[in-house]
Amino acid sequence: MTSRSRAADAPNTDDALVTRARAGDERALETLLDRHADRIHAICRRVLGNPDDALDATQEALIAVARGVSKFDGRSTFTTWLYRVATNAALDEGRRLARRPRPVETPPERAGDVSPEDAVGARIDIDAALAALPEEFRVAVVLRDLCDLDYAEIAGVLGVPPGTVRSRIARGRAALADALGNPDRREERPSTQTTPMEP
Amino acid sequence: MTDEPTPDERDNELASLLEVPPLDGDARRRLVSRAIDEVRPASASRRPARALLAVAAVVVALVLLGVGVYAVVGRGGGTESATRAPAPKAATPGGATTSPDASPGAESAAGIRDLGDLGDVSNPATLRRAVGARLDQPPASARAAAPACLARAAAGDPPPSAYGTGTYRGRPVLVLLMPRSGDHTTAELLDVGTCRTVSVRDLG
Repeated sequence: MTSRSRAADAPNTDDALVTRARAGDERALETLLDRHADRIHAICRRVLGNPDDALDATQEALIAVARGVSKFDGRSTFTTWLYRVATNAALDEGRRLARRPRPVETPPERAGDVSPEDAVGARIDIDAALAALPEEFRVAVVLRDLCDLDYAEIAGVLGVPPGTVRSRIARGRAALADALGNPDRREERPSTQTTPMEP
Repeated sequence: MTDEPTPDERDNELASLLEVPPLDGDARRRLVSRAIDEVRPASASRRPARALLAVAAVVVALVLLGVGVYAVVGRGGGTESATRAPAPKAATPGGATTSPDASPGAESAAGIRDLGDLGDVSNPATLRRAVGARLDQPPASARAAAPACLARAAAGDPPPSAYGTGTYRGRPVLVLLMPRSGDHTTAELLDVGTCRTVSVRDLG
């Protein structure tokens, strides 16, 4: 059996690909990156809100994964580690952008800028609703509802206690419900004001 | 771990709102290949070196062949100065001659439209405007020296349809217009020093 056919027969689970990538198998690394590029891009897209910035952050995240896979120690699942890398890349890109003035010609649309007439019966862009959220709420909601991570995994990604994760998700969802005009949800959700988090 | 909160149900309605369409296949492949290139700088730099060696070998072979032919023809014609004859220049299909040491970049740039200096392309809207304006103008003559990163890009699949230069966040970049499926075009911004992609912009 040739090495090529052996590689073709190798299992293509994430764990198997990570093991091979760590051993220097470029094809395995490529398969791994290709498999998760869409999810990484989705995280960056929802955290940053802008398609172009999301592509930049996705590129940085993929590079970080390619460089860091050899150091991945398996203490968390690969996807949890991957989401941490993607989240950090998106947040880094966001901070870099925040240090630069944004072009005046394309001001970011915010949920609060929508007139009442437009808001009634109109579909408010999810990007605008997310943009109105504090960053820590936005990231927590994205990891929970887009990536389907549980509280413990999100706590691992963000480096905060699970109780803080729970609070951020509840507040983030409540704020989104407000912005998206879903009155049924507002009643069951806490205030959207940015208040000190519980530990 | 009994004191950990029980994960609430995923908010499926919100989840569907947060879903993002998958990346275009070309864009995903390009992002992945750039990431792979990043982790093999040594081998990546060896690859163009190998290509240059191959080009150099072909040029040397052509020169030697030309010298041999010239020597034989020269002897047949009764001249004795064949060995002192200069190396012939390689002929192009159009009959023009080019120097054997013409840079691969200049060769690769043939057929790729030069949009010239696009200015500061940090802002996507400015980039789109600059590219649109240049594309609306009649093609100008290509610059004498093609940017160094262009040769590698021109050998890619697909090759860029046009290129220009500019600055991105203060650093000089090569702007490559890459055709994508569905009549879409992306602009890839390459750092001219490292030929690394520093940004990819969707031009629609």
